[in-house]
Parts: sequence; C-alpha cells; structure tokens
Amino acid sequence: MIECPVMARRPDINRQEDILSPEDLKALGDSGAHLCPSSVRNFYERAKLCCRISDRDFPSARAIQELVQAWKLLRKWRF
Amino acid sequence: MAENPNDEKTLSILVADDLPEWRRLLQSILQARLNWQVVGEVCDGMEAVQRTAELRPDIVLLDIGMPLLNGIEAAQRIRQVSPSSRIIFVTQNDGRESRTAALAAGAEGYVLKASAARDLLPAIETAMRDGHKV
Repeated sequence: MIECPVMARRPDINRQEDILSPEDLKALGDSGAHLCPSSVRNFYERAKLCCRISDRDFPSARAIQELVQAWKLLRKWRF
Repeated sequence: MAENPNDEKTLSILVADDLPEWRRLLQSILQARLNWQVVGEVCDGMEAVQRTAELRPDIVLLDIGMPLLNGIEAAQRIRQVSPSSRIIFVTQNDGRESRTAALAAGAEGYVLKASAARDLLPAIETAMRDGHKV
C-alpha cells in the first residue's frame, strides 16, 4: 500500500463552500495564460501551500480548484 | 476484491492523475476506509491502461486531462483490458459534454475535484454496490 502520513478531517458538508464557477475558472485560466513562467511557478507554489494536508482541515474547494488551474498553466510551460 | 486475513473484502484502487498534490489529497480521502487499498498511482493515460491491465483493480480513479492519453480514451481502453474494473472520473471539468463523454466511455461515476472530499467515498461505494452511474 502507498502510505499517506496524515489523514485530514473530512469537511463539514453543511458548511457553505466558497467555490469558483466554470466562468471564474475560465477567467482564472485566461489571466494566468499571460503570466511568465516564473509567475506561473509562484502561482502554483502558493496554490500548493494552500492545499497542504494538515491534521485540522481538508483544503477548501476553492483552494483545490486553484491548485488544479495552476497546474494546468504550469503544465503548458513544462511540456 | 481480495480477501484479507480479517475476512473483510479489500477494495483495490488505482489512481491516475498527473498532479502529485492531488494524488496525495486523494490518498487522504481514501484512508477513511480501512479496507480500501491504493495499489498504484500513475500520471498519464497510457500508464493508467497498462497498470490497470496488470493489476486489475476494483476501482480506477481517472482524471480527464492527462498527458499522452486523455482520461476518456484511457477509460475506453480500460474497458477492454479490464472489464470488471469500475471507473470513476475525478476531474475539475464540470462541462456537460465531458460528463456525457465520460459516461459513454464506460465510467460508473463522475466526481468534481472540488467536492471530492464529500462525494468520492459515496461514489465509490455506489459504483461497487450496483454499478450505478453517479
């Protein structure tokens, strides 16, 4: 089995999630497309920090969306 | 599903996503079920097909936007090489076309990454129980 050292607490499903709409995500991707590689890398690193697994909370929906969007931008530069 | 010494069924899961941090987050979600075991992680669609053929996992968690072979095409091939594996897409893509394509490719489930912490475990359980599309 592949080990994961920490299991984060499940989110409160009754909590109102701050979530980006498909339009917000597209706007984020479009604005990120104009960034230089180092800025994209910074965006990705910040998003990664926000998605760190802690013993207190699972990352928010919005943090996950931003991480994925940042990865898509970074991937364009890497491949 | 394999038997373990405690006579509980072990559910084997293959994770296919090219974003390493997301694979870690998935592991964290899946650890909520003690008898679920991630048997492999891959980061492109081609490898997803190959590893599924080798491992025959009960569940394959697939991203859509992956290098070499996208998740939709990978799912179609996985259907051929391991018909008993249940496929669940875990993706950021919320478009109707993607959902339709994913289900047409043979997926049993479609979960958004943003809501995976809430929706993934029930989606896997439903897919294993009766193969319903969720």
